[in-house]
Amino acid sequence: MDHGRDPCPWVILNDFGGAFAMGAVGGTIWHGVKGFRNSPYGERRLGAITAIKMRAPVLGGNFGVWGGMFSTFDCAVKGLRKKEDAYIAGFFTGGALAIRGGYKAARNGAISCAILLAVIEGVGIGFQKMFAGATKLEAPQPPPSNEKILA
Amino acid sequence: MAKENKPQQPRFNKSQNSGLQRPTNVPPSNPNATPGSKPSSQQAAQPAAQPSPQTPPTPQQEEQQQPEEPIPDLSKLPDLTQGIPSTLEYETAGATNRSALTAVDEEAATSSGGGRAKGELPASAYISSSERRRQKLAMWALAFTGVLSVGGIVYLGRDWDEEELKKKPEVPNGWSLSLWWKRAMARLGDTVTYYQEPAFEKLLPDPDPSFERPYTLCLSLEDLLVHSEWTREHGWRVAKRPGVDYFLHYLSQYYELVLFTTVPFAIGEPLVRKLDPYRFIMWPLFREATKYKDGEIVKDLSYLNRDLSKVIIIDTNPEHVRAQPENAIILPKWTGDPKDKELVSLVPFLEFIHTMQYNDVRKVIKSFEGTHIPTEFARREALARAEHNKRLQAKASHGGGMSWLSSHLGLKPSNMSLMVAPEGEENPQEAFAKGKMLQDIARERGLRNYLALEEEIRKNGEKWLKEEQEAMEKAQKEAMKSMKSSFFGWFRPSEEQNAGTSTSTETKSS
Repeated sequence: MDHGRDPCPWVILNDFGGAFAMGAVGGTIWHGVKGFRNSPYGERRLGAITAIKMRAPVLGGNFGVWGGMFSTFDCAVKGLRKKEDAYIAGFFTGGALAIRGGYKAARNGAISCAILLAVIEGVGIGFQKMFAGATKLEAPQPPPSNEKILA
Repeated sequence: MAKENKPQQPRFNKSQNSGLQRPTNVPPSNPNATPGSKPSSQQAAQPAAQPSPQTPPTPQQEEQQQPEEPIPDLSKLPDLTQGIPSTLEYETAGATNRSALTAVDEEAATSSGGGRAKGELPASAYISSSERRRQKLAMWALAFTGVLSVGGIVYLGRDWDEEELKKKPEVPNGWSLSLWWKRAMARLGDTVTYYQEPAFEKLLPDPDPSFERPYTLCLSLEDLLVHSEWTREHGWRVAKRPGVDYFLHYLSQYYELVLFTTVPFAIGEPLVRKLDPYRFIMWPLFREATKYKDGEIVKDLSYLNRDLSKVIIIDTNPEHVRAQPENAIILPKWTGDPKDKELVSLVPFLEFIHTMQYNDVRKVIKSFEGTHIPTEFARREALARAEHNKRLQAKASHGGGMSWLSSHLGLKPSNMSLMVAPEGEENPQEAFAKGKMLQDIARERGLRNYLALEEEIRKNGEKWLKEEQEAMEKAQKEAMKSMKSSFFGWFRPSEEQNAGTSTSTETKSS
């Protein structure tokens, strides 16, 4: 029960929006700098704004499609297998996004996406293991109430 | 220039050129144009090569073609001011010349590589340098990975140290290939299991003798003590199960309460703090304390550092307790029903276990297997009570109440401690005489303790919470301070060192 995230069908919408926002904000920064640098003096501000207006929403859309699709597959896998396997969802996402490039491109995209997500998951498990040491239960400190009455 | 453009021309005007004459002055160097070599391609390619108005190759050609140029019928052309007309109808009607199309395909295939003919240069000449660089890089990467993985396996399969050899006597040292492989796999398996095992060998500290609760009760969190639900309007909301406070407070006098949940620490910790601010749950254990086995999370009680004959775990998911099902009481999931009594109705049973001081709770749980524990327990208790009353009556008629009591006590010497009545409690003999059973006495005492506890919480609860919060804030402040000082220590290390040495000398002198 992860209370930080909504349950399954709704989380897709959530993820789509989140990914879009991330892409749009990142695209604003990226294309702002790029547009600024690639414009002639005197038109740099305008160039940056033009580049942002043209490209940031596109990047956001690309991110959003990825995020929404991943979330959809994640929910589907969760529904079928009754457990979380991000890399399987990543496999399908990578494959689906590259399917227009043909079988070979889809295969490569699926495998590399699955590897990427497996690595992310593995790093997460590693971190959890690393920080688990801090949760060690030490030296008994009985509740004060118990101590007072029952001891 | 002209020659190179030729093969590409027919694509654009092949449909008009059927009436054109066959050119005779094609340069023999162009293999496409050589008569007889490629009959299918010639039909389209040869005639089409010439009529383009933009490529007048030689003056001779121009002379020949000028008079033949057909005057297009302009009236039949579509009106492009209305947009580009669709050709779909035309094409589906089969009007397109199939053979001409295939010819174009072949033409396109042969004329790849900048319009030059196939076979002029070896195939490798048509791979761009960047592509070649990429291929080379990929080859190197592949070779590097291969060498690294082979080297890794060889290294993993090295001979055991002396310490390792003691741990793994089943795979001896040696140079044979299979032994090498087995050692590599054993080492790899160790690495994997490190991540699957619980975080600690002993999840709980050793039992404290001053903390006089012989039994340990493990509870799961979600759908046992609380239930989370999500609605679009309110997001996540968590409901406490009816009577959960009573359950925890009351049983905390008999059991060492452990919260054993599969929820990760980061999510579960705030929930537990809110659910149990006075820390009746002594030990909260989270996902970090569970074991990952065969793709499932398992709460393995053998890591608990407690005698398993004195541990009960209440859970809602039989999969989670499959390591020790004999210790488990499986309840159906609580789905938020406000009239639920399942959890609270378990209290008499759990109290009885403590009262009777069973040596092995697993046997007790086994005897209730397949039944609904509260109703089954009530049934058995009613039977025992009837028996008890009958015997009491018989004894009373015989007039030897004391002898019955002593025999009763003699059967269960472990209960002797209970017989010493604390102040404010009636003499056990009198109680028995009134027809009370052992568990009734325990129940009365438990209730009294519970009420006193509640009274204490009402009086001092706020104060305790405040104190705890203050202590926590203080600790946080201190941690912040130490972090800051260590951070700024980077910028003035000499001062820090001086201070450190001075304190160390002080401690030495003192």
